Amino acid sequence: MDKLESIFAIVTLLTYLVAGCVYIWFLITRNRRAANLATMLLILGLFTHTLSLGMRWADSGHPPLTDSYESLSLFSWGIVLFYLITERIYPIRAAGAIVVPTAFVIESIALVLNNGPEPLRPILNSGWLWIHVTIAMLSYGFFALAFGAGFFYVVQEYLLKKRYQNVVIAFALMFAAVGLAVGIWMGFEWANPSEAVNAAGQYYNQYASGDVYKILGAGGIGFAGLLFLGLVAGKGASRPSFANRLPSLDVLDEVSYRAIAFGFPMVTIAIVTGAIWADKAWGSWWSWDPKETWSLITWLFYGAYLHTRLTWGWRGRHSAIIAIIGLMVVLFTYIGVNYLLPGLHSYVR
Amino acid sequence: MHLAVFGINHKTAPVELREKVSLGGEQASELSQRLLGGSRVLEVVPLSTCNRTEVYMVASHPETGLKEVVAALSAIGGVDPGELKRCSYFHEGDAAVRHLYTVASSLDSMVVGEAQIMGQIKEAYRRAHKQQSTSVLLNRLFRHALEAGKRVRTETAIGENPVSVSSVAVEMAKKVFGDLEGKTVLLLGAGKMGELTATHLLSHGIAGIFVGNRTFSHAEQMAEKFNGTAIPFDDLTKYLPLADIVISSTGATRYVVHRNDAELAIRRRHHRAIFFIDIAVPRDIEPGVNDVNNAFLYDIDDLSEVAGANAAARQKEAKKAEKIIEEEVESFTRWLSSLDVVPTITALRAMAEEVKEAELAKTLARFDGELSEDDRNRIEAMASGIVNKILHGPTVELKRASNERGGYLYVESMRRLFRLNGHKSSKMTKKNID
Repeated sequence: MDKLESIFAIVTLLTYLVAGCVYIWFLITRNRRAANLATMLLILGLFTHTLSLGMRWADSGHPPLTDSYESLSLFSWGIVLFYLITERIYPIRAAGAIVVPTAFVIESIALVLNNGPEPLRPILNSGWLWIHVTIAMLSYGFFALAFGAGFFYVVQEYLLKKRYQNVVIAFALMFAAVGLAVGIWMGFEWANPSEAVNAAGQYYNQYASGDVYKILGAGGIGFAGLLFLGLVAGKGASRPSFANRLPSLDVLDEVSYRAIAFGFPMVTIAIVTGAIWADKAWGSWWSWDPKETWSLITWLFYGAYLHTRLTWGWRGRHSAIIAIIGLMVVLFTYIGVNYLLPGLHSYVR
Repeated sequence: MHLAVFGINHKTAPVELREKVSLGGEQASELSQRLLGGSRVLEVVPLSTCNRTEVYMVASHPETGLKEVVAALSAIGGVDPGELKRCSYFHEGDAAVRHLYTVASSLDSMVVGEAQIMGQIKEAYRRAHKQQSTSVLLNRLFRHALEAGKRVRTETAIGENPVSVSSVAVEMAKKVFGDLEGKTVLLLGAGKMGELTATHLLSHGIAGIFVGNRTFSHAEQMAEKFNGTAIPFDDLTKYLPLADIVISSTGATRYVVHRNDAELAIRRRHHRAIFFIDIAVPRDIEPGVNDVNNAFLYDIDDLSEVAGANAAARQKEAKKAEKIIEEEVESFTRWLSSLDVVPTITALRAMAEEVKEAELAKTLARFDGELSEDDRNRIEAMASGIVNKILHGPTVELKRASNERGGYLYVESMRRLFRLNGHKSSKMTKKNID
């Protein structure tokens, strides 16, 4: 990794960390100066993030979309960008307390996984691919935003219904789920599988029993650690005055809906461009590769969100829960598939 | 010149006295005219709200200022001066500054953190300014106080959480709908609290209001008051789906709105939320309504619990606010002390003396021993004479200005023209005075 590039990457990470803390501080104290400071820090972070990604591009000669580091880093970049835009339009600064730490975690995972730029496999060098991956990442950014708004919708609704225990449960569950997912993911990185080819000629990873312990262990640590954090945060949030610190239900519902209304056409384009590229690279539009299957599931899922909303008039908590589960499906499509299911997309690791 | 405030408020005086000396626009200007006519009071801003009547002033002597303000106020209000004085407070200098800042930050209000006081101070100051009863000092004080109040509002959460039952209801409704613009209210019953809450909601842009009452004529009367529509009580379930907010305060002994009514209504309105406010005792709305998806129910206990918790939170914020006020008071009094006449004259003299010495030294060095002791003395005497003659006028004028209305303007101009603020000798003299 280029030295200057890595300096910018570290500065970005630190800035996100501090900005995330200031957003949380803002959520607790409601000090408007803190909010302005947090926004300024976040803009600064986005700037250095852009620089580091740009240098990576210049260095490798291709857009930063090919390996785990690049695509994750771009993912976190997209989250921050969309969050900053949303903050301009809607009064949802409190949401920064969850969105910015998420971007921080994703960016730090990206840096952990970074192996420096690699020479591009010829199969990946195609204009369609750049469009495919860029648009997919943008749509993920929107879905992450919809998730954040959806989560706070659920919390705010419990607060307004005076179900304070449920607030604690919601926080604990959310944090524990994130901890478990990140832990297992890191466990997979830590494990050392051998690559094998199955009868159908597809690549897949073979895990030894030692690897399974590593994966489960890392998952357990992540689960327990974040469960504890979630309980503490939930305890702090479960009081009447916290409702005043969160945006109104109407705004949260609206933000979640708008984000998905933007993200859905994007994921559609991503699937279509992916199919075009697959046709060029593999000679087939659609081969039920796990990544393809799960993309379709994601697409159907968000399609269901929009359908229930527009034709059945669903809104509020039901929609928020779909948006929350939706991001989990997205993350499984994006990450889980690579480790668990055999298929053609395995180069992404 | 002395800055001072005389006043009574809800903590020091009973309402009977407060309402007598409460000053309307005309009475306020009458008071200002009286005080300024006496030539001992140089600037005045009267501030009168429902809980306080205060007179901020700049007087040549604080005691005479106090005497005159008590006389004028008791004459206008028709009260006994002794009683007025007994129920009052009087602050001078820094304490007066701190008092205004505390009032502007609404720490001194009956409801700590209420938002109206800033507007009332702004209005009182604007009026006084228009009648030219203020000058440099009070102009600066009031502008600074309003800024301090604003700083407290933005940097602490003192005004964030409502503390009265009806405003908690409005705030909670806002947390559901975001904006109350264009929403519809259904008011059931004729309870006073229900009416109050409806009034509060109407001031937030409510589009329409339906009024239901067992006695239709009562509903009509109330509807007329709110410019709304009276509905027959038996048609309640028909109107429920049209309402975003339902306020209930009937005298019924059984539930008026049941859980299945709410369920049906919300389904009819395509899952859009309904906010139920039940202020009646015994309750009008079945508690199970809160379990219905997208229905939110607050009864009187819920609302007062939130109000109580919020009041406690405000007390905590008030501590933070006091720190901010201290900072702001310090910054103002620093400016104020720079306007004292004596240190300004000292600084001016020191500056002139320094220039004189430097120029003398330069000139005498050129002669290099050609001059006799007598010649040297003559030259020095001439230099001192020029300095003293030039400074005589300004010194006398400054001393006189200190007892005149707007005299601070001279001090400030003097400091600016002769660059006394950055001057090292002026810093020294300030230190000596401290």
